[in-house]
Amino acid sequence: MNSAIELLAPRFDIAWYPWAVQYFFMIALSYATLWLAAPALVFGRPRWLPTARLALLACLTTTLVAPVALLADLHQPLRFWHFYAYANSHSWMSVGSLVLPLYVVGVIVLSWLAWRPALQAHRQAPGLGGLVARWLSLGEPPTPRALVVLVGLGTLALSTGIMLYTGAEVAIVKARPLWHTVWLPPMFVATGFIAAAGLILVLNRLAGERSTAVNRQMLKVMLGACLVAGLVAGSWLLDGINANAGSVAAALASVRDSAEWRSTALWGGLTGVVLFGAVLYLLTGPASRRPTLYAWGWVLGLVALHVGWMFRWVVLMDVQTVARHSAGFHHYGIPAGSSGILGIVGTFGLWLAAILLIDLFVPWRQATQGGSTADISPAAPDHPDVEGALRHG
Amino acid sequence: MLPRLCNHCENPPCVPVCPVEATFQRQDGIVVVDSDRCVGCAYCVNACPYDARFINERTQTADKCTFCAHRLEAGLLPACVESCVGGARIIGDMRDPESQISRMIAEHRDALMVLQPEKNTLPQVFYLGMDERFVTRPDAEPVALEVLDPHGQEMGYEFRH
Repeated sequence: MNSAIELLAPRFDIAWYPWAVQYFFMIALSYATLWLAAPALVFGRPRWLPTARLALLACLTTTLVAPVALLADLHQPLRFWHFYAYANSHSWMSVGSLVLPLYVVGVIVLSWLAWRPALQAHRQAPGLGGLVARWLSLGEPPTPRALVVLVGLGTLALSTGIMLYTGAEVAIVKARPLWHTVWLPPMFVATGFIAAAGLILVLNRLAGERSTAVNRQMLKVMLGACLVAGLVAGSWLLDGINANAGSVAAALASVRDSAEWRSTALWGGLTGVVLFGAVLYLLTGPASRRPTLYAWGWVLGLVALHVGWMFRWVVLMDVQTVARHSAGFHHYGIPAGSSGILGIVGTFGLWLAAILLIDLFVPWRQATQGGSTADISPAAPDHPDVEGALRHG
Repeated sequence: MLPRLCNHCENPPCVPVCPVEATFQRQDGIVVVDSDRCVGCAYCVNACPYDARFINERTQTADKCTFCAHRLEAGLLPACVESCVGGARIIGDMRDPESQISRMIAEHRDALMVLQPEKNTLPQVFYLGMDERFVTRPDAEPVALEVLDPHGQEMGYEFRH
């Protein structure tokens, strides 16, 4: 039994494609930005209104694009109706297929309620903008604030369902020890909030808002989310560091046996520490230099988006390359076609198109916390959003 | 040669994860997929610890070893059992105490091995005389990254333990 053995391990293809990474990334941005829009939109905190405007734009666009990526990951996307015809309550994926459409509708209705007063104020705008505003605002009656709060609370509740099911769906898979840990779902949420705060920092710069209040709020959220992520990662490590089997043991074995996993672990750790340090520096820097420092917040935003996306790539794609029944690691090269590069670029392209279309036709910059058109500043209708889009480029 | 087929587990992890109940355990214990219902989400492919499932490129649905259920129904043996010249593969009804498989299981009970027993899947494929290093994932050093067959097609990776 102690003789050397040679074994030929067959190559196994990965089962979930980069579409899964795109879905998990988009849906995490979606639920996290919803919670960042909530302080102003649902709970009526006016100081958070500039953040809520950017967050809602991010939330609606990611919510619209995420299910497209999810459908694309099915090998039989046209059979999606089987999810509803033959639901299986034992499967987290089936539970998710019931929560997701409700959540998507919730976000769409909430966005419409939040943007409706601004749309109503634009009814008389010239050209296509006015036509779309008249069509989308569905009449003159004011939007009841209570309705915004009600739909907001309902959608927030549904978003916790999304957090739970996306995490549990992966964490229950015993066959992949790296996934099978209770610390994975909270880590998805924490990195989701890091990326969402980063996205709002980037949008704050790209949309030309350049609000210092938004930068400060998002840097604080990012700092908190980094701390939580660090805590979760630390707990995961300590939880399993003495075990011979399980998630941490599998991770340590991968780091020991593979140069690629070593560089991934090093890169992930370093990026996390650098991001945390940089955010801390920006928040605690001398008050006189704050505006200059905050102006660079968008760079940290890009790093945060990288952290959120890479975490999902490593968890969903790289873990599938760890052989579970034979030795070593399977090679995975990202294909060029729709199950690879094209799918990744296509998802981001669709997202960009959604952002640009909303920016063209919806005066999201004047969004309120619900209420009536009287809440909109009188100057607002004089600035058609098309002009705004061009100005801010 | 260590044949690795679907273990037709008594507690199959691939069945409860299926969002559309396309994969199920028959009364006789054989785990199969209804390819007309399968949406190809590949959740079961990831949930199987034995790499026994895959997405069939032609049907774009989950596929696996069926113990040749269609042959069993016609009174034939599975193709792998039929073709094994050494008679090393034995299939039978474990619920019949008089069957050859039941008698062999009783005779070799202490020497029988299953793959990854710690996963609690209760595999129904038993190995007799297997190298113990294959019970769990073998810890081996890669020797060659690509092993090609005479036609230049990749067969897999070579490892040394």
